[in-house]
Amino acid sequence: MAQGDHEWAAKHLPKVYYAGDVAFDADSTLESVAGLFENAKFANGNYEYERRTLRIIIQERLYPLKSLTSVREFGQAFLDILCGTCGYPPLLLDYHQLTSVQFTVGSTTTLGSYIATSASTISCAASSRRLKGNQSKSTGC
Amino acid sequence: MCRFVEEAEGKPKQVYGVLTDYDISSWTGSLNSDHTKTSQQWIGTPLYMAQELLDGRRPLHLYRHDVESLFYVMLLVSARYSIVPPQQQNQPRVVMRGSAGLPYDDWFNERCHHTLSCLKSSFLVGMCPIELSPDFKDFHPWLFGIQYWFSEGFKCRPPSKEGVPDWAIAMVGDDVEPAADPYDDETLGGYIEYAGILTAIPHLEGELESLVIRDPQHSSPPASPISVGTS
Repeated sequence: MAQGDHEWAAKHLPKVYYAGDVAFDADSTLESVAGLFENAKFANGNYEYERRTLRIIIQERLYPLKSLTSVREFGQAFLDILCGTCGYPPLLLDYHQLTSVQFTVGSTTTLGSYIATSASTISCAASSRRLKGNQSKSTGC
Repeated sequence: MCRFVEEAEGKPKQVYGVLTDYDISSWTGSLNSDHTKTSQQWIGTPLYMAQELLDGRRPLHLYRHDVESLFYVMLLVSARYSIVPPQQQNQPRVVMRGSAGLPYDDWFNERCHHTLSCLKSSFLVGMCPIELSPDFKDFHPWLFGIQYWFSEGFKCRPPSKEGVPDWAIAMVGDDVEPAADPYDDETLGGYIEYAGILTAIPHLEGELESLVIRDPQHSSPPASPISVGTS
């Protein structure tokens, strides 16, 4: 977590209760697809397959901008976002990398009891971040 | 999005803006079976995308593109929404001003990304009038300033000579004095910079007077913090 000059930016991020990646076995569909691209020949040149990571994040619930109740609150929120974007980019959620399934669940899922008590968001993100071989990368929490 | 943070026990909660990406997320209870919602498709949100990224001219995503996207969010919220007293408990106080005839309807109705990019480019460079909801009128100087910076930044960008035939360049002549400093495309010639954008904040008035810059390196003079529901 940020310290020193960047500590202020941590308040502009949701608390993360859990984060972890799902490692796929060699006989999984994901690995099978990746294997098809190894040493494959393409008519129009080379193609480098980018491996995906299924990442699970359970975080504090955030509220939409429509939850704000005054022009001043809107102004402050926009200013915070402006500062958060520029002041300490490494603290931002890695939204450029999150390219696929990311969803928020209500209280009716299999993890409903946990969600109901923590008012959290679950995000399952398939990152386009390239991983070497079968390496799995944890986001930490 | 935003966080409501209780800084100290018994104190009003503070509002913190948070930038995250839920454009591809949905509440499970509100998903459409025909997958017609934008959040159910693996695409961005064209309405808020920077005009250069929208038409595919620039594959590289720069800081100023994020600023431009945030500008569109601020503009469209300020133009199309009003703040009304709550009639019932839990009813949202921020409501859309109507269903038709709102500012920037043509952006919402445009399906072609290239045309939408042209509309946005024209709006920024041509300094088209900013139409806001009366409730959000205090946003006008802020938005106008950002629009002006983009306009000047784009206008002073030197034209690319890539692919232009030599004879065409020779006809125009190459006797123009090169600029002392090369043009910085990432900041549009220095017009879109973090520190520069924050210079607007102390000049805002009305409801936006004395907003708090929480980055200590650029912090504003001490001011009353924003508490939830103090309006």
